[in-house]
Amino acid sequence: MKRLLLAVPIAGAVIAFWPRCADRTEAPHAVNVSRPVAWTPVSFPLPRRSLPRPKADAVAYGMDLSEALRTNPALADELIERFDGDEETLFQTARALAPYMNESRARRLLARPRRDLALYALLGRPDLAPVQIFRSDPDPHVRAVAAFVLSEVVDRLPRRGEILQLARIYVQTGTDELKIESMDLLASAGLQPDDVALIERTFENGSPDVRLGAVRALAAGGAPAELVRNYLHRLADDPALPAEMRDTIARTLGR
Amino acid sequence: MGRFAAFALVCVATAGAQDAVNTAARVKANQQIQQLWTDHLAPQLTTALINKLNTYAGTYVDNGNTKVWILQVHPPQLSISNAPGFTKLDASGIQLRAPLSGDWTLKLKFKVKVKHKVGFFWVTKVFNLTVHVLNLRAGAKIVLDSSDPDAPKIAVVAPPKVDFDVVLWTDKWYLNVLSALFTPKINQLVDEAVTSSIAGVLPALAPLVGQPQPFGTSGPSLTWTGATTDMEACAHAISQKIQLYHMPYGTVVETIFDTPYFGTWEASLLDPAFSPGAPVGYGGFGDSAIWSGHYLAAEAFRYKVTGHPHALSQAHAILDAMATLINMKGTPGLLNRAIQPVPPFAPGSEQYVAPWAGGDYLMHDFISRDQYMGVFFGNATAFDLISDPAAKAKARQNIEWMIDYLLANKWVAYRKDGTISTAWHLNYGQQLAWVLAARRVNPSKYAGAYWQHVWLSDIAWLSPWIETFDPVRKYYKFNLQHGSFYTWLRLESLPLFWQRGYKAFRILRKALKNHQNAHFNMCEAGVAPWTVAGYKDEVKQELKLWLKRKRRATTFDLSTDPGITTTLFAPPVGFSFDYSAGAASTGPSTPQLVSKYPVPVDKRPATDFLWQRDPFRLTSGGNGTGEAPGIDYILPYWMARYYGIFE
Repeated sequence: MKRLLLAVPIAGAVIAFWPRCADRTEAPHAVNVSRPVAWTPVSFPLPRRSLPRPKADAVAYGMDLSEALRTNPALADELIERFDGDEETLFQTARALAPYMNESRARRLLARPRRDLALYALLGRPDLAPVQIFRSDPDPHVRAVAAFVLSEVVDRLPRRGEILQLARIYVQTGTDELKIESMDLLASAGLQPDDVALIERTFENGSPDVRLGAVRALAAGGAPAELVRNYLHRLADDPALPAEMRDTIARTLGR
Repeated sequence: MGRFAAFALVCVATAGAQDAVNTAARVKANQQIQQLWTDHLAPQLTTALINKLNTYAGTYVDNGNTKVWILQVHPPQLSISNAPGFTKLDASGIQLRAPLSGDWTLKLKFKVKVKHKVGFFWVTKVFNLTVHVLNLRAGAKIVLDSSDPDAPKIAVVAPPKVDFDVVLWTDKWYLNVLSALFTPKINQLVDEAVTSSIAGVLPALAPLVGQPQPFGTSGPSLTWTGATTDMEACAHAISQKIQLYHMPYGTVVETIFDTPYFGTWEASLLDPAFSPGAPVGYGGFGDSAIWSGHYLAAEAFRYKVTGHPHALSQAHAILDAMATLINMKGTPGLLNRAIQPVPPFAPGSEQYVAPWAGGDYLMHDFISRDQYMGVFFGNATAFDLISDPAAKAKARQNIEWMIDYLLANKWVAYRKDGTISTAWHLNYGQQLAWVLAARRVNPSKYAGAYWQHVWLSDIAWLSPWIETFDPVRKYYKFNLQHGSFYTWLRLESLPLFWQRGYKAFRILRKALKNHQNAHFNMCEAGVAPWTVAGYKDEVKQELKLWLKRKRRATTFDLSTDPGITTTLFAPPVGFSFDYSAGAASTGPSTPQLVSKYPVPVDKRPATDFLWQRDPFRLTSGGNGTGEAPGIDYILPYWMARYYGIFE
């Protein structure tokens, strides 16, 4: 007897049975042992036709969703319409949805309440990067999550130029923190001559933190070494900086 | 911190005050350091100082016209109750201060005899000399360049600062007048000596600027070339042979056979004519707990994917063995490394014999975070993937025993004599992972522990980041990190904290990019499902090549292999910290010849769990009789099946 398969669909899976043989030549799973004949049930998941019901246990619900979507990705559309619940449930739902997002689904999901949590469904998807939300969402928390999502894919962004343009605007108009982050972003992309000039202007008008950030961005972004050195000398003489920091910079310069 | 207050902080942090989380994280970290300092490090430091001072008793210094004898050393008075701590710990830099607040003072008292030649005469005085060190404090600081948040680098290492004042006092009034006159000069001399010592350290710190740097990450990427064997049948066969040959006493070990074999896994696993020989010995008991935990996880995934009854029975067997490991030392939660009856085993270094369940067994006095990691990882995975209520109950109980012990002992595991065996301080990712595993199995019991620890998410990047300074040696540390991050990020449901954990995980992942590690890749795929598509080709090919590896440990040297480019590797600084000695040490790093890019999986040396070994090593040893269980195939294989790597 080779493989006698008896397939029974039960609760979303096919349970198949085959005989395990004492003769090792007929049982590929057997390893050098003779075993009594036994029936081995092995389940093969069938595509799910409906979504699992929400659970109070968000982690278990997230696992259920992921398993359901793996067998039937089309359920993502229904899940987007059901994007509702507490913070933990929505977070697990968004992560489960992430591999199945496309432009249409992203648009519909972001139209639901709790855009901050919906954004987690866009993680790792440079083609769906939430640039517009990063640019103009009125809620600073939503913009912060958008920045997190963007940071994961910044190397692969198809609309990289748009983000960098936005960063240039933030260098001029943002809070100190946003200016520093935006200068870092420009530096990580490699500074263009206009960027160097922009950062130099920002240095002149900025707070001590911004001045430090500006020089760091010039150094990291490939500005001419002599220019960076000139600014480091200015920082070493900057009375607004802590003496310890000035000393460190002076030592770095060999002064 | 109460849950209500915690929620208030979450709201503040969510509203944009990111510093609130960072401050809470630093406070928690400093509290843990203070606890360790009070319980262990300060007493150890005091004892070490007393021992050191006692070595001066009876010593003699001859300086020509002045001779000094230290007749007696009195017990010193130390005021060092405040521990060192972090004053800054974020993406822009790290600052440490010792102590975190206030100052330390030391009062050292000696009875001395001084003999001084004045003209033709020797004048001898015996008096008590007190050396009072006041206002002692030290600081260290590094500035980080985090313009690439996934790869922070050291931009500046500030010279360490040490400040203190020295006052000398004797029981002779006229000597006190003299010492008062000379105190400024003495302080100046001491300052100069300290400054000179620090200057001597600076050249060793200089290479840290620009670190850490990746290694071996720019090699070619793998493509899937199609299956050459039934990969699932191989996985089932490995589980069968683990049951038959690798669990002689309940936990998983390596097996020595009486006949050598020099073929591959693929050639033998499904070959009905293959005979492994008879087991004549076993090895790897020291790591039996960690690999049994990984095996449990593998069987949990296998059961979830196939429903195979053998997977469930094996999971039950391991869950039972783990309950033994967790209890057999007599303190529930204090883990043993293996189940080894006496005889045939006899105690060696750091081992003792104790009764358990009617017999004598070997107890490993030294337990490590590694073993706990494997057991937590396995039980937490089994709890979620095995639907059988009895298995769930066992996993829950195992996790509760361990976490109760670790929380009660403030993240320290002890030897029998009360000294520290291992501690989790600075390993915030592991703390969070195991607390989350506990909350997962018993939410109401561990909600408080969760809210006490969750803030550490913000600084959990510290440990993996430090480890990436050496991306080759002690590579097993990365396996510990992946198992911990997998458990943590799988179970964390609050996005505010998950985001911080994921940022830390990305630092680890970027440093090991392209290291061709099926298990690490699957850990990432498990917590970041959007990465699955990108790993499909690579993981399948890695598993296929795994089956083409030598089944047994054999001797070979790849340094002359024309297909492998070699290079010399040396990390910037060698560093280790010994909790029991309470001391850190740095040492020179000897360059070693390694492969420039990851060695193809099929050529890598035989070992216990392939993915915890660096992929750059060139040599292997063995005579063809020692065989590892093969968990390094079945764990990533069944994870890959579960997470959709295989269609």
